[in-house]
Amino acid sequence: MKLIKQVRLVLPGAVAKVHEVDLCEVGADQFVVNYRYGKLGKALQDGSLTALPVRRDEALRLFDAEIAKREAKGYRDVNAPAAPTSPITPAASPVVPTPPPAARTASPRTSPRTPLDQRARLLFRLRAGDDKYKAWPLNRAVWRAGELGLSEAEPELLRLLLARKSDNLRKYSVVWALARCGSRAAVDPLVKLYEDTATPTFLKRVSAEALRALLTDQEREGLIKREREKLPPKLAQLAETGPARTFEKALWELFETDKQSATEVYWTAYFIANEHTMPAVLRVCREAPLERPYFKLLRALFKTAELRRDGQVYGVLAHRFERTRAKHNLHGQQSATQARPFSERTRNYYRWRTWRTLRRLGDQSCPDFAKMATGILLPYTDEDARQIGRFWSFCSLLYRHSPQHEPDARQRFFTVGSAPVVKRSEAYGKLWDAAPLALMHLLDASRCEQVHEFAVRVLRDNQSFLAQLDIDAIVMLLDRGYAATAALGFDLAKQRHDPSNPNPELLLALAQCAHAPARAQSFRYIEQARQRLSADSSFLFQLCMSAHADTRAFAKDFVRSSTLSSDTASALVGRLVAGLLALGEAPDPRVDDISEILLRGLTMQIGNLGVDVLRDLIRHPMPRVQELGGDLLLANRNLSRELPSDLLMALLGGKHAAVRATGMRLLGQLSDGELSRRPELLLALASGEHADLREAVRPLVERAVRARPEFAAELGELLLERLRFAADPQLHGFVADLLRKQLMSFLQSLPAGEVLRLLRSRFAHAQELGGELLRTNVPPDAIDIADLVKLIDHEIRAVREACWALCEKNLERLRRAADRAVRLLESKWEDSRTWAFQFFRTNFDDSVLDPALLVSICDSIRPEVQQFGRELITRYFDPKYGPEYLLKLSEHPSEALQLFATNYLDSFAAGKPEQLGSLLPYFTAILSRVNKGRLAKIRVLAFLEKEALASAEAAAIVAPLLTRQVLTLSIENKAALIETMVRLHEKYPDIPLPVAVPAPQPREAARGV
Amino acid sequence: MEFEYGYRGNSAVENGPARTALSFSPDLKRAPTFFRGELSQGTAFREAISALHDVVVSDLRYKPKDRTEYLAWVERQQLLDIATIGQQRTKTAQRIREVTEELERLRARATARLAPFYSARKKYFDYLYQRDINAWYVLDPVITVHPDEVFFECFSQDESTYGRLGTSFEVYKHVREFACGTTNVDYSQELYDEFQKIRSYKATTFEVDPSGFEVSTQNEESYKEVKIDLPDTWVRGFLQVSSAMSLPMLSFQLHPMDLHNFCFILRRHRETHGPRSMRYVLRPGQPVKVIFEPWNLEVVCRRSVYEGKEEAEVRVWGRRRLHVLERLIPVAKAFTVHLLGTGLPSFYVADLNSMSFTLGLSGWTANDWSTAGNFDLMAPRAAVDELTKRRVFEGLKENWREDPVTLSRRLDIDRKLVLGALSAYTQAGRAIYDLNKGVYRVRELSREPLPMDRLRFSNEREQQASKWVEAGAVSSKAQPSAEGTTRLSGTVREGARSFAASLVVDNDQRLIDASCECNFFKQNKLYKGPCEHILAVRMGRDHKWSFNYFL
Repeated sequence: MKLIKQVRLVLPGAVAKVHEVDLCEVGADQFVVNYRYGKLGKALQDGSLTALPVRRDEALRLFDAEIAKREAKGYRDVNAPAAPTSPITPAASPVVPTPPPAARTASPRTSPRTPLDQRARLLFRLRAGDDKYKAWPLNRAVWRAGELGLSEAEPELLRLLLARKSDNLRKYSVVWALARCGSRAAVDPLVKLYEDTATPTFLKRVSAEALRALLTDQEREGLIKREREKLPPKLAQLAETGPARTFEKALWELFETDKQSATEVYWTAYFIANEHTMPAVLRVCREAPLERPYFKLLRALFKTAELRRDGQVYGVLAHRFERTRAKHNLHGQQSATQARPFSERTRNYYRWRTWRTLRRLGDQSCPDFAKMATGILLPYTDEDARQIGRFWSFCSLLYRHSPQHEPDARQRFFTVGSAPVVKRSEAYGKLWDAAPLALMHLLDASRCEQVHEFAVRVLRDNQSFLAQLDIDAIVMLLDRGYAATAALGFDLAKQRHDPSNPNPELLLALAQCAHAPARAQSFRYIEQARQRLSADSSFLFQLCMSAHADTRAFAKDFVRSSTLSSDTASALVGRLVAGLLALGEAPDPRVDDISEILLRGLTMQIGNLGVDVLRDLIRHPMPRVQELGGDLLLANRNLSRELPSDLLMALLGGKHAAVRATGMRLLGQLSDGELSRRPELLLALASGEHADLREAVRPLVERAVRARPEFAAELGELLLERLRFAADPQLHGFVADLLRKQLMSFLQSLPAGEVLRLLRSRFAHAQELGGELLRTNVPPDAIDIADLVKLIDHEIRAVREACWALCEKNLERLRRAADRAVRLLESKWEDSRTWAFQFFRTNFDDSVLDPALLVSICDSIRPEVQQFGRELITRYFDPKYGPEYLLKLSEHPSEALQLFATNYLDSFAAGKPEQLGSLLPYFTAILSRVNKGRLAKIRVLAFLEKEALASAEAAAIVAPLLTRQVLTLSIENKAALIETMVRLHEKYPDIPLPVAVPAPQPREAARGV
Repeated sequence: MEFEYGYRGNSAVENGPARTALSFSPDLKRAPTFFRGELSQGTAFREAISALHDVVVSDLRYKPKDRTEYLAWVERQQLLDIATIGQQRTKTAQRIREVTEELERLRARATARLAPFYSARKKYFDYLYQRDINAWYVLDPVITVHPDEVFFECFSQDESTYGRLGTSFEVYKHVREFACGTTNVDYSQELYDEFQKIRSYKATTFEVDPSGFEVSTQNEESYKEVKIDLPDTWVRGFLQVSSAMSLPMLSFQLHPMDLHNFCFILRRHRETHGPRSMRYVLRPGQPVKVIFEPWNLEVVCRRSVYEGKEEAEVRVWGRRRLHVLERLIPVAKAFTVHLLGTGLPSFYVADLNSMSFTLGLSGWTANDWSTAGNFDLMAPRAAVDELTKRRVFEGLKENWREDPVTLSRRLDIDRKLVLGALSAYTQAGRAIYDLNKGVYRVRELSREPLPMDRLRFSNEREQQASKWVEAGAVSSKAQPSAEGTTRLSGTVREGARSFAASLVVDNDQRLIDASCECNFFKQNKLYKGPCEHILAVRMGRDHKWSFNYFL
């Protein structure tokens, strides 16, 4: 395959992509086009455009097409010379001037239609026939009539309702319009429609809604009652009497089981719309996902709310439509069965519809505008305000006339520009001016700074309304936590403040508001009325608990610089403690200030706090409060002298270091004598889980021991006991160290039994401690030899070392019990073994080590011990025990010892046929070794031959063995065995051996002569 | 399957220059079983119990080599090779030499610096291994005390080797007290080490400690609870091998040196390719001949004459397990070999005067899918009703051991029924057949009866396959090929459908390739073992003699 042409295309980006195309010749006029693609620098994937080779022109075509296709996607040939005038580039590059955005208010302003004009046209259209004006469908006119509240249209609408030709959609439109513009006259036809069983549900619902608007209050109650009774009995009961939570829960669960009837019930609940049913409706509006099956219900609720002009429900849903991303766009929709609600189009429709509804209300100067707009604005929060431009209706309402806020061309969102801010930019300012209560409602309930700023701007223009506000309203304004609102409240408060008769409530509200100058001013007001306010413990308490640091700082100074009456001070302390206890677990900056107020400003009173109160504080979940509890305990002269142990332990067991430090300070206050009487307290500290506390216990132990020397033994016993139970190794380490350093006196007097007990412990630190004490506390004769044998095998080196020292001191005893002492040699630790070997070499000689002992050393399974045993045997060898050694060592299973024993054969077994018999198993074992022990085998065979040839008795013993072993396949052994057997046979022909030596036949005979 | 034991303290051996005391801690959770005696044949017992230990720890499964160090070396070597090539280019040669030298220096420094760490690590791992060596053992051996003998049984870690050491009462000099029954004993490496110190010149007392049952065991400091989670395959292997003992077998005696020669050949040669079998060629009146493949080395056991009536040739695998018997060669009088058939378990009984050591070997060392479905040793052999079965077992319990003929006469039950009942109990692990004395013995492997339904088949596919074979839904034929492999093909009828499956079995009777039309095979190939159809075709071929043969 020959590469004809190759192009490498690169698509730039965060991760560049590569596409390589090859044109290759595979035969005469046979070409293939291959490609590779993938990320730059990574392994590329292969592909080919030609399954089979093609002709050159076809291949070239494919090649070029592929490159063109890639280039169209943005790939560029990295090696291509920069094309100065590519025919495509200039066409694509210049920016197409986008059409100027259609001015959103252009059409109403450029072609204003006077209302009268419009109403007349509408009436005209309604009276005209159905298909008279194709461009203006009758249904649209019907809707418009409803929107405009065109009461003159009612007869026409009723006519349309009763007309035979009217289909359900027409009727729906008419009923909707009647709900807006109808009168008593419309009730009867609507009731008829409502009662008619043939009427479809959607029409029934809208007629019920229309009736709800048109009926008198009493009649409406009746209608609602009828609807309510259609509910399942349990729900009907709940809807009538509540409680709301139960109703809400029952309904939410109904959705899980029966979606169809749940939708019905929700609608009815909204129809009933009392205080028991509304929470359930609002919850479903806020939480139900915009998906099947909920969406159908939400749509119904949205339309009903629009008709009823219920700002709350309408606003909540509009907010959800704005906030929630569409589930898919139009292209994602594949088939009807896959159709999911809330596509991009649906979402945009609802967003625009919301604003259109508001706009139409505004254009008509309808009094419902403020109600609906308030409903729309209320659900927005400061979080939404971070990307405020996203929300079409919100921005349209607040920034319609703001040069800073620009809508985009497609009317989807607003962009925030840098143009100067104007004072009033909201839509329909006049309508807002007329509804100051709605603005107050916004200020009261909104959690969005933009809304507050807007409402304050509008309200400031309405001085007459502001002048009528009462103190509660001003407190509310100050209380809302938004600077603009608080500033408005501050201005009002300044006007209302009366230095001669200050209102504490107003002053408190000022001192706690979000507006810093207001707080500063309030401090001045309070100073002015110090005399009067310093007697009000509730006022002082509120001041101290303020969320603002400057207010609390002021409160601190105020309390400290005022001379409070003892009653006021006590009451204040009580309130503050109660306030602290009411706090949760989360850290709270107020606690620091309150602590300071209590500890510095109210020193007299805190000394009298009861144990129970302190206990509650110390057990409070917040560490800072616990610490304060400890400080208060310190300040309490009566208690701090005889500190209750449980309080102390509660502090010392705290999770936070600061709390424990307080506990330690309290503990440090205890006198030495008091400390020395509480060993269990110190034990609890020393074995606590916190390392910092454990460390701090050392000086205390030292002090206690100095005060009362017996204390050392008491605490020591307890600590030793602790070492016997499982715990964190670090804790064990600390306890052992404490004993070692601070309670040395106790350890020095520890009896030997206890030390050995420590050594038998399962825990390393206890063992180690035991090992250290082994040298000092255990008199040499107090320990058994068996214990020494065990300890020399100990895992901890310190113990082993101590054991060596003890052995050396116990030399005489060990020598006397040498049979047990030899086990010292078998330690599994190399250091112990090395020591033991040396110990035996220097201290034990043949006066102690008899052959039985030496053999038992050799009996070990450790090669090095065997080696040592052999060394000793060799050193103390006494020929008189030779046969014994031979016999005993010959039973050893190890190859090395078996070989070693062969050394004794010639000296001690030669010429002793009786011994030969007892050594037979040994010979068999050696000769039966498979592919091993060559040396031993040669030696044994030689020995056996010698012996057998020496005496007939020996030969009789050896012969069966040879007979047995000769079967071996090993040529070397077999040959040796046969030779021996032949020789034996020659010498002792009577001894049975499987050897037959054919008599040599004379040559003559063979020749047959 | 979880086994629970409770021991009072550890088994202990006290060793002095003149005395050895072996004290085994029995499982306190089972019916009291104890024994006290003094050993009279110390050395032989030592060798035999060491052989048993070799069985306990033996694990001859294939373990892949750890090649990480080699691969690291290869990587370094490659760099060197590249450098060598580079050196041929004059310009870079100098630079590369410098860099290589620097690198070598650095490596040497790194090695020197890390050396203490590596040696400490190695020491630590060695220490851990030494310390926890007992964790490597699977199951403590079972001790059974009967009125005529005490025997120990164990099964290897690789689930393929069974060992049984029977010591008749003649081995013990002063049998003091005993209670018949079966119990597990606490067993450890230290114990094995102490066994090595048994000598004939030391008095050796042996006891399965009864004192444990006398004192209250709970809350005792030295009370030791052991829980062992044994794989089902292990228990299954144990039962398979021990139940195979009760089947009719070809038996002959071997001279100890014959075993020596077997081991000799195996020690001298290393197989690099299959077949790895031992082929016993048995001709009536002729010495037993053994051929070791693949080298085709012949061992003629001249002093062991086959006395059977029919000529036979049996191949067995997993021959390296015979090394367990090496220690017994010097002390054994003779070995009796029992062969069940090609690819089936085989047994070697060493005659140690009043002791006997039985080594049972499963068909193969590895217990993997390639031998699955070969033989169903756990198949029920005769239909015996529950009541008769229980009567037979109760009858056996009266004397603890009895041969089936006497038992049938005593209980007045047909011999066939007695045999059927006893084989069912053998399969359930509640009795064993003593090859040495030809009697059945009561031996409850576990405290609670074993879940037989779980143990008969290694998986559901095997169970299903065996059902089809028994129902006669399988047709199968064999076709030998040139390379020594055999191709089996056949069909399995499953309701209205039928599946064609075929498989290839190699020289070692192992399944090396297979195919089937079923979904299981299409999805998993052989990664999860053969499908039920492949198994059925394989079983169908052996059906004729793997089931009826035993009956």
